Amino acid sequence: MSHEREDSPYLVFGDFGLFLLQALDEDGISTNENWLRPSFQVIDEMLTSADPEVANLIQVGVLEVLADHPEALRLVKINLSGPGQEKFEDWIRSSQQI
Amino acid sequence: MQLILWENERLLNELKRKWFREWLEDRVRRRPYADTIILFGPITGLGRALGPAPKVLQLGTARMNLLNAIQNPTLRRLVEYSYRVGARIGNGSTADAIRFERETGILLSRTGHMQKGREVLSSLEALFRSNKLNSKDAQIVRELIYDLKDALK
Repeated sequence: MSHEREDSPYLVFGDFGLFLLQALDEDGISTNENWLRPSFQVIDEMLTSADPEVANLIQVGVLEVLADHPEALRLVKINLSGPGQEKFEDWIRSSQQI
Repeated sequence: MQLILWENERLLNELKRKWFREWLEDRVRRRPYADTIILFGPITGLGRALGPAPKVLQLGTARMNLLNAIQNPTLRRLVEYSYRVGARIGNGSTADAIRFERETGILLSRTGHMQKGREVLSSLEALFRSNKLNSKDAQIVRELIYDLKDALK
């Protein structure tokens, strides 16, 4: 873990992002793995949250960690809900714009 | 209509990015140890922390050079998290993302990178105080702390 504090959500999600990236980068990973499904659900719920801080946390904490890995991003996207995919596309568009 | 708005927004952001690049260069010119830009991009003086390095490393990104030098696993993870591989803003660090957001008013995410910066800074300070680092890692942490404090001030 990269932190020793319980009040550091960005570091907690950063560790989650790095862990997820490692798993998604592995050859032959199945997105049907038991633990992956709830991970995608968490990303989906946070991305579509009405609370901007929650959406920011998943964008900065997790999606930015995956941002330079197109295959990992693709796997995340296809496992999101419709609204989740829209928010995901919004984030991609604004991050590519910059 | 929507396409025209997007195109205008894109052009405006392009101008702001160009302005930010010039702003960074201007700051670096006024700072000592500007030669370290080659190693770690603008603002940081992290090149001093590594000492002589093979030329091939000097051509790498800030992230790559740091990861090649760091021994402590916690510090390594913090750098992996704080420096993007293919970022187009500054040297890809959270500190440069914060500087960009503050100077241009463009947020790179929904509410920006300030809170992430504060948390990484706090974690780096705790790591520095822990006395678990060798001298080279400690020097790198000092420079990272300095860089983040500069961005957050």
